[in-house]
Amino acid sequence: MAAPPPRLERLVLALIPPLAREVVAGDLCETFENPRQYAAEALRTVPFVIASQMRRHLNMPALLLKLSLWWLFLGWAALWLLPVLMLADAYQPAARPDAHRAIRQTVALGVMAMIAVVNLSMNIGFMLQTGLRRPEWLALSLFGLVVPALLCGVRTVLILQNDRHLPLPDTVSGAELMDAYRRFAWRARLHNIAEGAALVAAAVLALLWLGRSGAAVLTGLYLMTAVYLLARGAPRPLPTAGDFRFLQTRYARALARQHRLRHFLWWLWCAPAMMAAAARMHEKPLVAAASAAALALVCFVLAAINREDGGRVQEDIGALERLTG
Amino acid sequence: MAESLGQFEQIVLTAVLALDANAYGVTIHAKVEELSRPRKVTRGAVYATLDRMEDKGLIASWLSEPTKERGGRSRRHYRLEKPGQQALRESARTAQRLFDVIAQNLGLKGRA
Repeated sequence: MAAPPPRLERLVLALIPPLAREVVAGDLCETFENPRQYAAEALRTVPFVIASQMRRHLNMPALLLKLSLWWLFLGWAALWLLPVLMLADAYQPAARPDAHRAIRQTVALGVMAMIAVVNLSMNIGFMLQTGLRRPEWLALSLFGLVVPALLCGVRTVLILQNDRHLPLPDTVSGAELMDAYRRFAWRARLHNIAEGAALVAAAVLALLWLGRSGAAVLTGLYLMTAVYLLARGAPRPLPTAGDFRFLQTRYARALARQHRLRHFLWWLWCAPAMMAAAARMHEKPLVAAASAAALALVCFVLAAINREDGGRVQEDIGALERLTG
Repeated sequence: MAESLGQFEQIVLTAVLALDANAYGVTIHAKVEELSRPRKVTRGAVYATLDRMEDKGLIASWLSEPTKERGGRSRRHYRLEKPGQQALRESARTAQRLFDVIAQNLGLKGRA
């Protein structure tokens, strides 16, 4: 049986967004005639697939919120980030990262940070003697060496935590799938009620304590989101009629929708911290550097949480799509 | 009221309907090319339309078992959902009315 040359196939696989990779690459492989035809077909197909994945995974509220926050730091240059953010959504991973690899990376980064910190602290005396005027910068450098290892640790904890999540079995009956959907819908409803109430409380606190124009915008956004969460946030109840495939589709869509909501909410919760960091960016260089470091930390943690959560949801959707009733 | 469909969406939905249990990327693309002759259609356009119609709830999809001829990868199978059937019926009625008027005025033979 003719198959595409491995190198060419690897190149094409890298271009196809992960969530469509299996199906599109499979179709290209099935219609393979010769490398030239394969490459031409891939070139004609992949741009449509990328555009479709960008449209499918466009989380408009989260995208607007991210752009607004970046606008605080970069001004109108933040608009250049728009295609990058959209492509990042289109190329979101189809599975969660490997826990063992994450642990290895954390250990390696931790050892490297430790060596660097020990090396730096052994030479502090020499550096101070030779004219280091601002020891704060030294402290910030030490902090900068330790932070990547800490962040990597945070990411590993998140991955290990999600490893405890139980996937769906390979075969389930319609009634079992319906039960699983109802349990998921119930948990999502409770989660939305709790988060909606927390958003209302945060909105009131922001208005009472901060009382600035930025806080008013944030309060409005928090209240609007709380109303949406409480009124429309829960997964739709199942209709009385509907076969196994219908149930699978409904479940998969509800999972994807709840993930989009959570993605937006994580950014919304961290918006005050990012706004505070943005407000300090024009102060003294040391304060600005510390604010930039705090901003990088917040962005990294948010991205790690959303990537982890997104990977888990995509694994669940994949398992649902492979289920046989 | 049924979802209104564009011409290409009508063709893709008709292909899914005609192929029944054998509707997946490669076969749908071949059927769409056959239905929209002499126009050439890229497979990517078919994927994008299938994704859009799935998001609208007109079709549903699931993955098959991996096969050797596809390099150990699964096929994504599609089927028409009730809103899709309704939308396609509505489009067929509109096309029939158009055909009748054109046939009456330009003297085309046969019925759509």
